[in-house]
Amino acid sequence: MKFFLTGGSGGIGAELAVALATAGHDVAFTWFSDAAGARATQDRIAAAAPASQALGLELDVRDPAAVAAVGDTASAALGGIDAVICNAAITRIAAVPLTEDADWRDVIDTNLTGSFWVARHFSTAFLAQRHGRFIFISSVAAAGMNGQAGYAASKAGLLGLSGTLAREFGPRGVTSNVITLGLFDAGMGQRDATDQLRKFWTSSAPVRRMGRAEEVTQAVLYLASDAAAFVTGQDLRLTGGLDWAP
Amino acid sequence: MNYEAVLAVVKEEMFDILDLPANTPFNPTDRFDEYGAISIDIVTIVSCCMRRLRVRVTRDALMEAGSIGELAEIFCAAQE
Repeated sequence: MKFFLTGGSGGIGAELAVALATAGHDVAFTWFSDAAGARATQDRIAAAAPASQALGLELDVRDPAAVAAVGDTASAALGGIDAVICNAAITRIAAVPLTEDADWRDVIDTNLTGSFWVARHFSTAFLAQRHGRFIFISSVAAAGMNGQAGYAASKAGLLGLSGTLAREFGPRGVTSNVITLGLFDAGMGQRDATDQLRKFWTSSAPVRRMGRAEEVTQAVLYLASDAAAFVTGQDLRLTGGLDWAP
Repeated sequence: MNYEAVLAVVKEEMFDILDLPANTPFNPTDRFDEYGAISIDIVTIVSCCMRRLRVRVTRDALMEAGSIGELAEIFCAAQE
């Protein structure tokens, strides 16, 4: 399959890009601010999966024209796209009364509006080829999380976006699903989580541990596969059974 | 492709996507909704036509099409 993945320069996105390529798929991944991270992802793919095509593309998902240009570049290079994974995300931590206008906009524009630009761009190609998979990476924060109103709202918005795509495109062989993540040992979970949060998670989650990046890969591979052709409009929750963030 | 050939592609895609009987009367001055198409059907028809004809037309340009025949004219112009 041919994947288009946003946010592939670090964290879970980088792990996904490498794992998808290692599984024999072609991957176009985007990056924004972390050129070194993108190069590292590209190098890891080259080492682990030399037979797979991998393309790292700089992209500000907040810019719809750039999304269209980069989307076209990826499609041309890989010979079409079968699955789009909207993973790029940022957060700005502040209590609601202290949240700056620009921070709110940056988070919503990147996490939610950027995902919309990407989905809209690939939607016509998916309709024309009568096949396609949209996969949005959300978070348990979608139900609310202290100090992360913008992040929570953006991740909740992905559910509405995905559900709408599922309804509009279902008759055309295109599915859209969300993967909701709990606390993981990669990306924001690894970088930003406090010791207190980790302790809370590992003691409260029924599975008593954080999620592993490879578990996201397996969920993505399933939702992208023909086996999931009847699965759309769903929220696959990789939370270890704890569907709540403090 | 000339106008007639492009129109034939548009008609073929419309009949396929809307599951219209082959003997359905067709008039290029009609709009898609007169054949029962809803918005997502129209997007699909247009997307499939652009893919087959290897043309790209902007959303603004597409909005100018008032009928199926006018859409075919826009696709013709986009080939050039």
